[in-house]
Amino acid sequence: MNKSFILLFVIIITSTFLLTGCWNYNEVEKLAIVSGVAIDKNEKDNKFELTAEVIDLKSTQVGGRFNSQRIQSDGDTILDAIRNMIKISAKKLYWSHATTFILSENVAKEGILPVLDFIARDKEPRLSINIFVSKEKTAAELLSQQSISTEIRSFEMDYMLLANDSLSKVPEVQVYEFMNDLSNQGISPVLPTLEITLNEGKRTAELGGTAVFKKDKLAGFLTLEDTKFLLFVKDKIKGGLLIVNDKEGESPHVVTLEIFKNKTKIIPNYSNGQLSIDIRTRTDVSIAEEDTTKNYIDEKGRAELRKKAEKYLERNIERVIKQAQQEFDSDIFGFGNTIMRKRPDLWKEIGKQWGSIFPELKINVDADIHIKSSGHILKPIQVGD
Amino acid sequence: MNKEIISTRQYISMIVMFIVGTTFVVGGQHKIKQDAWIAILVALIMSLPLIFIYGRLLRLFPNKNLFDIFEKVFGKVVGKITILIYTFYFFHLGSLVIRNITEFVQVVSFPETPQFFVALFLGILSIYMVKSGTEVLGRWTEFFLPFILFVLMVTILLSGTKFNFSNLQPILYNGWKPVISNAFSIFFFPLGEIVIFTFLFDSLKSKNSAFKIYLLSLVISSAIILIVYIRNILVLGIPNLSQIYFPAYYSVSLINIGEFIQRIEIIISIVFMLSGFAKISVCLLTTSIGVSKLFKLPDYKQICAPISFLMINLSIIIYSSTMEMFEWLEIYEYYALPFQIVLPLIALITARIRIWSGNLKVES
Repeated sequence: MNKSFILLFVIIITSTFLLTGCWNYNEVEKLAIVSGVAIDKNEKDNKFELTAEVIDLKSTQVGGRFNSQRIQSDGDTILDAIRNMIKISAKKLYWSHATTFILSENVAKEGILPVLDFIARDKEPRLSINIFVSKEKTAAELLSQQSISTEIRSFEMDYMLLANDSLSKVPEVQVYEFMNDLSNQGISPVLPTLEITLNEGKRTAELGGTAVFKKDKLAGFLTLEDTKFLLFVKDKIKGGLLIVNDKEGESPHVVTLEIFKNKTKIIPNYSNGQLSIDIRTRTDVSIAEEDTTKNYIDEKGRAELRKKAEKYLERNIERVIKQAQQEFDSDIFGFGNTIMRKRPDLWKEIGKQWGSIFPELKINVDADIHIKSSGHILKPIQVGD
Repeated sequence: MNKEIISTRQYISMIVMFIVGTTFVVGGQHKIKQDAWIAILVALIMSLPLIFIYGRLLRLFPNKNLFDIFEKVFGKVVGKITILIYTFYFFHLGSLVIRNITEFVQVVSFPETPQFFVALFLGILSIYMVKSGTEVLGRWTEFFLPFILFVLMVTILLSGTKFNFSNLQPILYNGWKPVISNAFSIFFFPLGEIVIFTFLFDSLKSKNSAFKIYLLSLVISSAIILIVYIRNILVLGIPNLSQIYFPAYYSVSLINIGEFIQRIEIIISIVFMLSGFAKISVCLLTTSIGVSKLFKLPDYKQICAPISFLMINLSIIIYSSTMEMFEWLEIYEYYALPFQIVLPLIALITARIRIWSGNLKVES
């Protein structure tokens, strides 16, 4: 009894030394934690140029703010460029905390597959990464601008996308959603974009609308304002504003409506060999701002405003769809996919020719706006004599 | 030799854990389509005749397991050969399961750790488990099954924010054919593997009908598999599901509740390991029983350590790559067919004929 107890004791003590960790452990100070990466392509020698933003752990000893460093390297493939960074950083890059991938325009134009493949295949990057397309000349310059909320630019871009819920001017697309849209039939993927603007005279990165893809290649850009209507069709609106202009009449004025809730239904119609798509939106809004004394709050005014807003929304949605049909020739709204899901029999007939059907597709938009509140204001502020 | 007794509840939790086992790691991905969830239901219905066969066979010979029944029904020589074949099947199955787990660990977390070490620790642990006996295994599964179910359900609830219900449509776009073929894969792996428990049936305390017990366990485990599959489809979508090796792991890794609850996929890894370990232990247990029956050893426990080490070694050499492991799943359907259906059916028919002709006495 006593002997076996001692034996057990010895085994337990020795195993605490032997079983202390994994086969080959990584100390945290030996890792370069990547927060994001910008991918460019050098046109001269056709090499990938990567700029990784790495969290600087040195500054954390003081406490307070984290800083970031950038490591630049090139290679024939993306992984090659990443491994080449070891030459500079003397540390292996660790990708599990990466949130942001920024692609330059020509990388996106040549095809996004190598980037997707790296994210999905490698064990460290996560499928919840956000990919952006840069509207500037290079992707790398976006990582070296002024930062507002945190020193780490990649995280800031991630936060921008999170805060987009009440802006609704860029699409929020994570890698796994992008991969689904890319592989699915009858839908083309989109990505958010970034560009550079001036803030207090300093250059800083800002969200820049939508990058439209056709298959795996970049086909064009949608502006911030147009993206809102794309999101209306895709039923991804969570907030944002509708700005209703009234230029006619004796006093031109603007009314701003804030969106609370939206539900969009897409209904494919097929009769007599004629395919058309009905888009029905139902939006709850409140009057958020107006620059006129005209009363839009009483019943008559509300009806008028509602009519105007509905017309405004319908017109713009139609315009954006037309743009996608004619300019990009890319079904970013997923109409084909909707037909496949709702009318599988029909999709089996027309699915193969979808590329030629989509540009000619007839769209009917029917917007339905409900004005639910008007803030604290019971009556528009009056101007006396 | 003392008879080891386990309760019906323990027996059922053993079966559920065994079937859930490595299903989420490797199950059915190779031809998963839109309607995988229908396929699971079809597979459940397809397995009803199977467990009916087992139920009849076990009812003909109460207090016996299938090893004894084979010996009784087929006579000494053929009986021994059948036992040998089955013992090999369980031995091989154990190696496959070890390899599945080690491959999973290597792909998702430790790419540089040799698989041998993961296999070694799993193997040693399962020796300990089998040496402790069937009762301990039963109690262990009874203890851990609620934990596993809890984790699975919590991760499913937390995935709720990522659900996209349009991923389920269109239903039956390609007709019934791919669904049936998918159902066959699910039928052979994992549902049909329930055959292994007919070799442990004599340990059961209460003499309930085997059919009822198997039915209940199959319904519980298919429900778990069904819910997890639907979650995977809702979160990841079909194209992703067919492109990724371990969708259940990936869909959990996407969970992100307010930047606070995130990166919890390691919990699901632990669940995979636990249920995989239960599966390895059951395989080792039945292989040991089979070998002891084959060589008339007094106790199966003395043979389990060498068998376990052989299993580990086989698991290392059995595939040369991850790709091969997934390609094997296609062949496995045909490989498992004789063990799961043909031999038990022949045994049942032979037993019936021999009883009818008065050749075989059945003790009540």
